[in-house]
Amino acid sequence: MSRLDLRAVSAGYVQPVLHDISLAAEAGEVVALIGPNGAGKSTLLRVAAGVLRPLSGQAWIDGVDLAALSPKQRAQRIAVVPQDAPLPTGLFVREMVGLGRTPYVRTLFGASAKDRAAVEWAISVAGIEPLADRFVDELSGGERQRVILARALAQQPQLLLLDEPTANLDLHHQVAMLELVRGLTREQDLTVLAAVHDLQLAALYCDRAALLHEGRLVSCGAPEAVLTAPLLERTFGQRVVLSAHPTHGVPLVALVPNGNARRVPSRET
Amino acid sequence: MLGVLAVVLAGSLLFAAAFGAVALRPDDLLRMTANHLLGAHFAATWRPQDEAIFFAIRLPRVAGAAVVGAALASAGVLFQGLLRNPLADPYALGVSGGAALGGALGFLLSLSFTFLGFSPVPVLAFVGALLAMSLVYALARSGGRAPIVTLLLAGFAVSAIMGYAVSFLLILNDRLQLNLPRVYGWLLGGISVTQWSQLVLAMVMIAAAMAGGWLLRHSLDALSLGEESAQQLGVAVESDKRIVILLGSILTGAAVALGGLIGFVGLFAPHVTRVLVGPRHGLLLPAAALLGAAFLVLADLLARSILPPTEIPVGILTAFVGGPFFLWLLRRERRDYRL
Amino acid sequence: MLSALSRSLAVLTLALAPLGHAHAQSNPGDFPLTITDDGGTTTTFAAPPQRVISLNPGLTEITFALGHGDALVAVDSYSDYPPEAKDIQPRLNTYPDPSIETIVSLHPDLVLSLADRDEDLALIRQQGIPVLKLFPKNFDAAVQTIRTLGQLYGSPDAGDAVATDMTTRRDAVLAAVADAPRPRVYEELDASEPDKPFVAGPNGFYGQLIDLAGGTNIFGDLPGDSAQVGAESVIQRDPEVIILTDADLPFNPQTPDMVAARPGWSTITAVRNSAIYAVPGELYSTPGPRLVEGLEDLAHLLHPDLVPANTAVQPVRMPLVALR
Repeated sequence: MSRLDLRAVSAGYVQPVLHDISLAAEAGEVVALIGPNGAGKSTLLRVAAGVLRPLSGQAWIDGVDLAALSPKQRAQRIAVVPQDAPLPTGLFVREMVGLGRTPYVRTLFGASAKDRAAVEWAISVAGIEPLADRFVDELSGGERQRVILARALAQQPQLLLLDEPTANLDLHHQVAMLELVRGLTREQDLTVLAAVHDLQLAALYCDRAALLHEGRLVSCGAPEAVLTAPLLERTFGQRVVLSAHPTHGVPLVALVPNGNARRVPSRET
Repeated sequence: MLGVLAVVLAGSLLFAAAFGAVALRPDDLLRMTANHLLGAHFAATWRPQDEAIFFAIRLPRVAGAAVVGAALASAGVLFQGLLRNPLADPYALGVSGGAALGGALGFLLSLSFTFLGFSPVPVLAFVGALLAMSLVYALARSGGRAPIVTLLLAGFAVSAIMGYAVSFLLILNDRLQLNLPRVYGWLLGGISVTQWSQLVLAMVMIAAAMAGGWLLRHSLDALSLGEESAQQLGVAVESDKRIVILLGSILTGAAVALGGLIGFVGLFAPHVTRVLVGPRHGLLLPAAALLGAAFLVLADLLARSILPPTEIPVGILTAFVGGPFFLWLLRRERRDYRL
Repeated sequence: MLSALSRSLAVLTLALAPLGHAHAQSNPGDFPLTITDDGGTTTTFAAPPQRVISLNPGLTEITFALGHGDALVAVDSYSDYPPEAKDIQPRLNTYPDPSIETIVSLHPDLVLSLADRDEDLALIRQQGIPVLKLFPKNFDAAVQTIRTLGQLYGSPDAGDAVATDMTTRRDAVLAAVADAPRPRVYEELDASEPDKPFVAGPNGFYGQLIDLAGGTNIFGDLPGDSAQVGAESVIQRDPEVIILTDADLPFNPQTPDMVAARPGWSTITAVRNSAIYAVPGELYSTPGPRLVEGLEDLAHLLHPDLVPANTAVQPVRMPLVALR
């Protein structure tokens, strides 16, 4: 039984954005959602989160229909790290991570010892202990992203959904973030579904890639199978050349633009 | 910090009870109170008028100010949390227009009932406030959701329309014109408690609504991350929004029934408190209530003793403090302050 | 010599104009008549006006008292005394502004106004219609206004008769109460919020009548005509007589019983002695001939043994509450 199972899902807001998507993700694996802007990656994540109800088809988590779960039950299984969410001012890092326990805290008595323990665990796993007593608004982009990841982890989810987790990060932090995520997936037996637009990072860090184009799942499988030149060119409208990564062997994606890009004469004639 | 604020409130209550348009000696007041509450038998070193003034006029008034201040501050916290807009106040969702229209109708219709000591004007103002808020919610709602921006816009529109309806009524109706100073005076806000029964009813409603708001503190905290994030954290966003709106309208309606349209308290008590105790609603709600109560008690003290024996509508005083604060807040907004 | 006298009189009266007493300058009964109104505008009339619009009940009342009621072609919606005034059509709403078009379309040769906006009055004057802005602020000014209008209507004798009647009766009251102790008086104008009533201050007709009738206004220290005060102050100042001019208001009318029942008021001398009186408010505040009746009524309430009751005073209309 898959952790996440989307069957023939069509979903959208006014018009359907996704058409007939079937996708399964297993425990312990990182699945990258790739595709051009507007392909429906964010929408697919919303369906997986249970926030957007499919127009047709079904979404299952661990064999349970998402639509049958209450928001609280969903939140105890699925956590989301959003791309750009409003950030209230004046919150300590520990408090922000603590918000991840919202589906668990008791109405009258508030946070329990278990909640506090989960928060501390999430902080240590995300590597942000030194930041715990600082204000979130004072942190850099990379640090903030980790805090939000920690918040998601505090939910103790089985499924972690990431929407462009590396979008505003520099090179170092991009790698660090995905290192963290992949490591956690192995250790905690998480399932991760991440919308990524950097194809190279997807190749390095995901177990499988799902390529979306105009709301349809064009290809899904190992990165080597999905990241092929003809497929990418058709989907992204951009010529690429693929070779093998020098140290890791995963696909190496090279852009081949036609226009004003620079050329340096190659050593080999 | 909560303790500090509680002490501040207690101090304000004592201070405000001791002072007013009429000078009463504090030791007399203590002896009077001991006689009343503890069954002591101090000989009267005061006139019977003084005792009448203290127990029948001043104490209910001070208590009313505290209750209204707490209610407005709590409503302000709830609406700022709900609407994620630092300029939100208890009157944001149509309440000011609805209460004004209800009150104007109360003046107009010459009804003659009293409800637990309340005359028609405050009762109709309360009803008007709740109806206006329901109207705003109904207008903003589509497909089971009421988006926050739509709520804000609908609230502004409903308030404006109802406000102009009041002006229109004034033009059409002789009876209202004769009462022009009264109508405007009521609109400017002033604590008016004449019987303890009024206070008791209002206090029960306000306490219940404040308790309900406090139980929702986790949802409110999550809502500060945005509706979608809150949903992803397990908050039943739409139904919690409805409850918050209901609680906020009860708080504001009760406050308006006791004190007319007193502005600014509901806007800046939450902000000041947020600086003191942080944005988590578990602390913010009770702290803002304490601060709002203390502030209004002191403002009301000024309103009744700054130009004795004249009474100034307390809304003018809160505006004198609140207006500059509002401007300061707007300036701060430009530097990327987010709620 | 006479012209020198009248010239110096003219200078004198023009100098007095800022004091706000409307007055006419000429020999009584002579036209053309030059009048400076309380707003400082001077108008010259060639003959008594025949088509008059009155925008104030007091000025309507004065017009009728001077026998010139049939010259009224329109009045404001509140003019209802004497009863004939109620039949005059059209009736103009004066809030927020009177309809200038309607006024002009009626071709009046005089518009009487208490205190409308200067822009509106200027508009009317531009059409060649004279406007007199009259707002007497005390008893003597009200009497003077009656005299002035008497001359204007070509009935100076009627004007003098009414004026003399008023001043004679006023002087009689003053004489009767001259040596009597002056009781502390609390006069209430509105108590929609009983813990914060509107009360009569020292200026204006309400306050002045208390003074003339031989009473001491407990709020004589207020700066203006009226103010909203806290109930604390009323209790503290312990009036011996309470006058309710808000007994016949259309909203929140007060009765003596209601006043006695207000929390904390039972300690007041006036309440203990049941000296709470509901009076017809318009007699106490309309700048017209009946002002002296209000004075006599008040003086009787304050000094029943020195001033007889005025049987002409109508009893207060029952408050709406009691009609149910």
